[in-house]
Amino acid sequence: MSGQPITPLPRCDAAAREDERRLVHRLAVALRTTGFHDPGNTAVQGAIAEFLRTVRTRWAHEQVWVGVRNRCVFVNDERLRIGPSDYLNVRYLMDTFDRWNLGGITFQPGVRDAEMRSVLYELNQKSERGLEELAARARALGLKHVELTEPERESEEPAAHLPLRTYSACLDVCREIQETVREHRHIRTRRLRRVTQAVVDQLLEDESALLSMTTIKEFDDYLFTHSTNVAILSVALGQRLGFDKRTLGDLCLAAFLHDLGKILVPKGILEKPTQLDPGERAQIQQHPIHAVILLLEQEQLNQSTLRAIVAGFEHHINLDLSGYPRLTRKNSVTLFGRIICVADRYDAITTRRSYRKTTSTPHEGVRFLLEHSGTQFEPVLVKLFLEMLGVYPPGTVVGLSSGEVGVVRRPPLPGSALSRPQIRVVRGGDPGTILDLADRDAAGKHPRSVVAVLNPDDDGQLPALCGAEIEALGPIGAMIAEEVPDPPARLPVAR
Amino acid sequence: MQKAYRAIRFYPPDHPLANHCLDELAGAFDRALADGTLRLAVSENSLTYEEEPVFTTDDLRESIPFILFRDGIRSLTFRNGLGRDEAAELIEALGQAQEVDKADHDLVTILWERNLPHLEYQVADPLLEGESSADGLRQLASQLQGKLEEEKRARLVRTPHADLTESLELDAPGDEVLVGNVVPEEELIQLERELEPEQDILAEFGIVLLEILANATSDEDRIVAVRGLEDLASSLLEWGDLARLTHLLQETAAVQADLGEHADLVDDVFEGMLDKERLRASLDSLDAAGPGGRQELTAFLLILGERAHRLLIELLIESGGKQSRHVLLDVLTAGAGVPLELVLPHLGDPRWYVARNMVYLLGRMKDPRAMPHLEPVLAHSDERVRKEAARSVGAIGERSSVPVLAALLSDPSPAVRVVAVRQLGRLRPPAEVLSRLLLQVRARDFSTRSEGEIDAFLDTLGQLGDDSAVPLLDELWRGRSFFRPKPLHLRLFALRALGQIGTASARQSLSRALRSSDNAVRRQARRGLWEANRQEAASQ
Repeated sequence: MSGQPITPLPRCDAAAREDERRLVHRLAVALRTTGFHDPGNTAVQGAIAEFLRTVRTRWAHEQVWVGVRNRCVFVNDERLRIGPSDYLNVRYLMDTFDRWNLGGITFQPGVRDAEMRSVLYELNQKSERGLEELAARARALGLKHVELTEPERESEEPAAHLPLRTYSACLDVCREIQETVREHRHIRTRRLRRVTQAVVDQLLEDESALLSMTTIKEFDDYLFTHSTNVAILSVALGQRLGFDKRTLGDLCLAAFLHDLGKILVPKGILEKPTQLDPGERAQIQQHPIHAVILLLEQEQLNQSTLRAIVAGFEHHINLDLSGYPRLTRKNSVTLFGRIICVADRYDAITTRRSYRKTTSTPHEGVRFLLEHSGTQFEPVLVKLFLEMLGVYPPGTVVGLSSGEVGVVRRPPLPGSALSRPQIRVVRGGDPGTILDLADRDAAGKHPRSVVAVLNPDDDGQLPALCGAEIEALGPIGAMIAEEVPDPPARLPVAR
Repeated sequence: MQKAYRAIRFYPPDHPLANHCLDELAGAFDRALADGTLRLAVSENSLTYEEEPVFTTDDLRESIPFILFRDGIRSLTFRNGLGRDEAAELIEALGQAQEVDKADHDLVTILWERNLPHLEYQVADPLLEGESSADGLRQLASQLQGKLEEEKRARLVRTPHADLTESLELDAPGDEVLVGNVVPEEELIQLERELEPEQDILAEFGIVLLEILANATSDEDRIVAVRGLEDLASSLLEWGDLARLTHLLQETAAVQADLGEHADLVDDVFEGMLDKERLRASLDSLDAAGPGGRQELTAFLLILGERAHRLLIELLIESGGKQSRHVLLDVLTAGAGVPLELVLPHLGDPRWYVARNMVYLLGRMKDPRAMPHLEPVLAHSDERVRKEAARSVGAIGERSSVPVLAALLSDPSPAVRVVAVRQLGRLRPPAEVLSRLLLQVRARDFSTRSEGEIDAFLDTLGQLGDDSAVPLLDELWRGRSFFRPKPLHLRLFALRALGQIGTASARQSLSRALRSSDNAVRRQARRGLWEANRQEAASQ
């Protein structure tokens, strides 16, 4: 499945990148020119006019933020790839921002020539007290369409190395993708790639930690957790098939985007608590086609997006080609499509939905896959899925021979029996204790085995995370929050 | 590193200098990493080791620090064990980063995908962080905390509990099935084999677009699918992947045929193929391609049909390559051919080969309306054009073709005369043409003409001739001459013509030839008689 070179198709988002490059270039030139000449000089006037023309052409009705983080220049959170020819001017801009400890500048629609002249003039002055002083001057000038923002602090620890942060970044990026697509804007694919890379790295490093995260359900919008869970489960399956990193990255991207088409299905239908009528069902069944249409509209076609498009179309087509959409020419489902189909169906049936009274337990979820192996699902993938999650996948609530009740925290380790996962005790015994059912006593026997599967409150499962992990979320959140401090009350801040 | 990078940028990868630089780099890594790791901090224009700049440059265009820096890489850590191949991959990745200028790709992704085992890099790219992450984690923590509280009170209901390993059809089901033993390796290999063809993601993408186009319920969806097909087709054309492109267009045409009132929407896919520069590039590459390449291009151009005719004629006019010309002429003359109005304006082109190609097209179209336009071309100054014109006039095969061809029997060019006489033979012209033919054969210089021309004239005379031609042919085979003996080939062709005429007087002449002292003459006479007898038997 790997090895094809990235093959860009001609229409891509180059025009948007060029607009952003031009914006920064002209801002930097205007800043530099103001540093060398009086504000009334014709060169200054010309440079400001050029900059404003760019803003008014491309960002006439929306604000645009130009910022610097760790010597990278950003335009509306899209990192700019600067060329050598731009570099001298851009360095001047970065140095100026550094001197003032300035994170960025937001230009609102309607920004005027006089405002630009004032702010550029101030930026070229000597900095005594940094941003506070600059903000005071900006307030004194009464700038209405130009706002200054503080810098973000760098994280001490790479976010991607923490499963919970990776999971949280996934939810963020899902939310962002949906908003972006809904507003007919381009997805920030570089950010999406960073997140998919983090998922793959995390799974390669500690698969079970991220797999246990897939028991986080119903958090925020169903689609966010579902897309994230399907991405994680798909990549874990792909890893078992021996995919290289690049293919895993493509698979993760495809899985993330597989349900994108649902944003075009009315929420009332998606969340309808009663049975769907044929018209509503037909609308839902359009979502794989909507996914293709929305991705095509993104106009960033390369091998990764092509794979995502194909898998998005296929994820409700069964192995025997039943399912939907209706086919007239296709005679097989790609491996990505088969993988995402398995992961999608498992996560869907083990997640509480408004139209179901009882949600299947993860154990029943795997049983469903096995029952339809060879017809709906690729048999080899179902077996791999069983091996990956075990007979009692994470989140399953089980009754033990010892009389304790526990929730499966991690799947069995390699070499352990499929029916012997790691458990967090919920009731009986010592709640919160972590038990490995593969452990043996001095006589070489397993002291505990699963004797029953339980459904808690008809929800199907409990989160597999243990108390300590959940408690760790607080400090992590606080740490991130600290990295992004609240703006001082009197400083005009836009982000 | 900088030296190796420059070498890779300026020389092909297998160039000795590039190899030498990579060897040097690998040696340098060996020495530097002998004691462990090497961490280089990256700034805009320098690489720093333990706060000491070890490489500085002001030329940013081809500078490694700048390439790393601009994509957000702030440090590189090399680990012991980094060999030559890995060093070469790193340098190659740096080169690739210079070429990549797409929105979603940068050096970080290139390095991530290459997954070099002895290289780590730190990226100053806060793409994973932000306010929403902090908010999200706070919410997540709070919700999960709530769940933990709830689980203490949750109502636990027994649900079906099955031994899922039973369905695996393993030798030892039950509790003892271990992680790692569920999927036999041969099943994985089988799956891999079965799905091998799916590596063709472009073909899969095309099928998806066609499915959407075929089943769409709105014009909006159809238009998006058509745009996707346009992009795919255009990319395949750009990459010169004509086999895939032709297949895609064939399938597209099949879907279009079933689209009824929406069929016109699909025209854009085919119109998008009419890109002169790309088609020219495909034609130019033909000389380097084998016969397969020519077939692929022909098949592709044929699919474009009439809509491509004007453009293909333009390319034919501008094309210098023999292979291109053949392909274009094959395509333009396939089916019903090209409308006259596209060809006629170029008949008077001053370039002989343009006029020749247009004349060829007219001939293959066999449209009698072309005759009046061809006649002036028969007087073209270039014999290659006249020759093609003679062929085309013959191919049109109208009654008016005969006098035109007969006039060409006395063309100054032997090549033109040969074509003209051959075409006349094919057309079976009226008897008066025979006298003009005999006049040519009687000409004093006839026996000095090329063997090919003599062959053509006497062959045509044999086909059209009657008793009136026999005395001349009798004289020719005898080979008597005041000046010098007639060439043997002329004598033999004359005997062959007598056999073709096959009348009694012709057979008498052939019988006389049986008594010739020349073996070759006797042999040809026997063949001639055999031919005459065969014709007679056939007519009875």
